[in-house]
Amino acid sequence: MINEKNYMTSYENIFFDIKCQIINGYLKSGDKLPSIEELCKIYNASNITIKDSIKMLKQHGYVKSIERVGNYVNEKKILQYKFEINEIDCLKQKPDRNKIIRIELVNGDMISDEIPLRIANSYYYVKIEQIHYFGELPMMYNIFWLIHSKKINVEKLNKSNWIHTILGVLNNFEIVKDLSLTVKNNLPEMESILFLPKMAPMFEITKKYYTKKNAAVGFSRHYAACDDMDIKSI
Amino acid sequence: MIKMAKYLEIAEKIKRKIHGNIYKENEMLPSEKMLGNMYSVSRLTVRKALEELEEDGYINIKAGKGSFVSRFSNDIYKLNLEIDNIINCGYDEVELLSAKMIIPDINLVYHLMVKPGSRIVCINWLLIKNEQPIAFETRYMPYSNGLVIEESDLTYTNLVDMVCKKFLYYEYKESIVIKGIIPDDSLKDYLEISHYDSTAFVLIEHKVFNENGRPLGYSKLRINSKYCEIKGSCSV
Repeated sequence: MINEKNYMTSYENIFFDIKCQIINGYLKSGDKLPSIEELCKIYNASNITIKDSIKMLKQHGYVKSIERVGNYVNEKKILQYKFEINEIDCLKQKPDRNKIIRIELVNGDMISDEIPLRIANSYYYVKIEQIHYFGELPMMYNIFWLIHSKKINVEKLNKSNWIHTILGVLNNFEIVKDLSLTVKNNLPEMESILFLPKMAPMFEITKKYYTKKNAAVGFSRHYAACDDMDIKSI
Repeated sequence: MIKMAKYLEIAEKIKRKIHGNIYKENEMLPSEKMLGNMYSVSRLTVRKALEELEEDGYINIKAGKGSFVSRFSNDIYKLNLEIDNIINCGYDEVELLSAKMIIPDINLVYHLMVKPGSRIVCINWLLIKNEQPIAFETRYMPYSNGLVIEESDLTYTNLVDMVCKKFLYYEYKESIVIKGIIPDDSLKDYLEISHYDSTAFVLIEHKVFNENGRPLGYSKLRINSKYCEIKGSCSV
């Protein structure tokens, strides 16, 4: 009786064989694979089978094909993983309320070393500080710096409505985001804000926002204790 | 401007509608025939566009039922976890500390799903920069009869390469968890930092499973947080 799990179709077999050759270094990156006709003879298989196995190799990222030229072994696979990192959704305990600490206008020149964006510094930023709470416990501290446009009158804003709009804009699909994640435990101010023990490690997530045309919109920093956050690949 | 293929154009239009929440999550898209009428193209072109969308993960095509909009988020980032990329400016050298066979403790039994008395291959590496240890990696692989560990296996590569080369698995799954920790004293000794030093470390736990979900390898990489930055970009 054939055990279903161990049974491989012949195109899978050929895929597997070529893959092993690539992993073990018999075929190096940039090498040309034999032509489909030659592979037919080598594996004693039909045209369609070979094409199927090459399709599979392509799907798994081992091979790329150039039309009318041939199939080539890809460069080393880059270790890229997908993570869903939304500062609120990553928290183990979902916060139930948030509070805006302050909204102020800052001169870009004053904080030029803090700005991770690649733009001229002679901009004003609207700086928004916000804390998320679970009950009475502060869970996360957010700071947003948005490039100031003349239309916003910071003094006259209805804060809670406005921040809702801003977050809506930043999470729009027209915005491209860059992310950087570090662990820090040398920020005593943040420890006291978040009620953390001394030297407790916390995540610092920096997000940069650009439009699709690569114009900077702003950036944000999010702080939360490492123990409170779940960062897992999907 | 390069003219896009018709089916890609339609895929792009549907994508925009999904982004704009016109087609909502779990909702069914109009039938192929209706879409064809809408964009005045043949059913075949629509089919190709839908296949393209399925490949990108926007929709889920169910034979005999229709196409459904998948759960979608613009907070999905592709993080590059290549070791040279997460350690600022890379590392200078790797020192092999030990490679041995161990009996798993309760933690390892849980992570590797092995019997408590079985044997585990355990390899330790120290990554050094400017003659200072900055990272420490431990790798565990369940040992089975016939598994040969050669000298070439002890050179430092990534976990996936190592496991795939050993077990010749062609279908595998991975999971990664990122944490922040303060190292314990034994780790501090390896890293040549004083017991009073409480620098935080980034811990990256990486597991590789075979297609049935059985763990093939497990690694724990701890990097001094001063040198570590993980970068990524939004994949939309």
